[in-house]
Amino acid sequence: MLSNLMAFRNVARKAFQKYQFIIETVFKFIISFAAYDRIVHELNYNATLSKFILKLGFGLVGAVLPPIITILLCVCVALFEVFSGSPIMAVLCFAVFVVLFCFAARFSGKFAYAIVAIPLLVPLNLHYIVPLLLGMTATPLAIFPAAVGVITYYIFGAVNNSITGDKITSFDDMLALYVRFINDIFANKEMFYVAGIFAFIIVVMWALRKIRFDYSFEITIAIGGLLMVIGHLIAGLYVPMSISVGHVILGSIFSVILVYIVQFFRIVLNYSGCETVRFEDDDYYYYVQAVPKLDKVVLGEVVVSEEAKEAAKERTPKAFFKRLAEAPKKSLFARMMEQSELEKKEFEEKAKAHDAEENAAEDAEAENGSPEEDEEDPDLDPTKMSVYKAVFSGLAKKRRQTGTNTGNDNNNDNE
Amino acid sequence: MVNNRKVRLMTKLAMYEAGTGKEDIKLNRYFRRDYLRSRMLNSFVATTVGFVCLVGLIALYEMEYIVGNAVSLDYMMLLKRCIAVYIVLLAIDEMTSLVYGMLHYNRSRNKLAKYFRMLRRMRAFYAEEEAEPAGREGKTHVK
Repeated sequence: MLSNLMAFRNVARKAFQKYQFIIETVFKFIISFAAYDRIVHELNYNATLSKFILKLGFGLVGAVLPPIITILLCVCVALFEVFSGSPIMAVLCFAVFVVLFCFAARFSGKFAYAIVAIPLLVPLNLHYIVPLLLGMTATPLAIFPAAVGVITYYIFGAVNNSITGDKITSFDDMLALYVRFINDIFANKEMFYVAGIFAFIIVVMWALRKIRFDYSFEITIAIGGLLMVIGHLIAGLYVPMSISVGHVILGSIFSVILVYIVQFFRIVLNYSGCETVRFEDDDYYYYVQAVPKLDKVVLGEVVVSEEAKEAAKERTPKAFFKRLAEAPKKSLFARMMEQSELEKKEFEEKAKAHDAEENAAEDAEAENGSPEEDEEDPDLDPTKMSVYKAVFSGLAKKRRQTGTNTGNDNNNDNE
Repeated sequence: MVNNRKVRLMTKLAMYEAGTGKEDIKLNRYFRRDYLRSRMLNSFVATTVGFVCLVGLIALYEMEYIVGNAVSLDYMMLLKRCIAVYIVLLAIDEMTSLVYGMLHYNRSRNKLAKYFRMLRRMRAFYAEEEAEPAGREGKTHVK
């Protein structure tokens, strides 16, 4: 079973390596296309925007743009739709989006897709996957894009409720529309509860992820799914929820399964992308394709090192509970601090070992007649990036031309 | 002749520069203090714009009340409350930016340290290449 899984993993990795660019582009295309389709479907005030060719065009544009630009374009499309229904409402929505961006969405960074993903996945009842994925991959700051995603979804509903088709002829009409819109948003306690549940799950999963224990990923995902169901059940006691408990349970189960699959492929594919790089030195231009090495896994046969076997023994549930019983009783925070200290020490030891290896290699080179060891140079200060240019192009050439070799010429060459 | 070890090192450098290193190298142009200042300035602008929009939206929502009590409203107290809320929001935002920026900067510096170590090895390669013809001609390599 394990060997089959590993073999499948390798096949998937190879396929991803080969078609990485195509897969990523197609994925971005699908997301952009679906986002546009969802916006147009939800706010159907302009028939022109519903044309298939426009959806296709938006998908193609989204396939080549960075996520944050795609999100901004989505907001523009949504505002244009609302503008077609009610220009005043579009201005109000714009102001609300500005507030959301300034206070929350600007912290999204590379997780900006979550803002689009939540409204997009609600009809499929799979929006529970977003906090679970963010909990597994992101930092607690990801509660901001998740919250903005939830609010955006409920804003769509409020806009549809507020735009009644009546013509706005006076300031009073505009005011009544606006008050109705804001009341719709803030009267909806469900929105706050859902955003709160998502934020809580992200933080809990992040904290669990940081603690090292057996099957940590699997247990963290399962706990996330459980919290989702319990959170919605508790929220249902206080406010009438638009989603039934059965839907929440089903959606959570599917989301947990999907997150497991995504997590499996994420670990497999995270480090496996082929890189094509181009650089040059004085003599050559190099066009290099760097293909990462695969694990020592052959189809049908798994090669396991002795170290891995020892580590596996330590990771059995029995060993875990034994350690737990032996460990002194400490608070979660104290354990986390201890864990981080251990990791720090481990990292320092590794760095020292690495440095020692490098020094040994350099010494060996020096003994074998290679040039003298580099002295610590002031231009190696990280603040002086000019050394890069000197190393790759100018320095060697100039040295050859002048025939001199001074220890400090890097600075002079580049300043 | 192509030096395989050098190519491997250059490839690693190029991959880092094209990938995660792009942001690190850009960030390295700033001293930490300048970087944190720029982040805090961004936060200040975003918070101010967001707060102005928020106050505008709230004022519009309460327009009926404001117009009805336009004469009797204590504008000074309202202004003081607004400023107090603004200062609290700004303080939270600035602190978040500061802490996050500091962590981000330190992490990036750690990655750059490794990058510069590789650059140092790259220099050694160049020095080696220079030394070879000099050795053949019987010249002394002066550092």
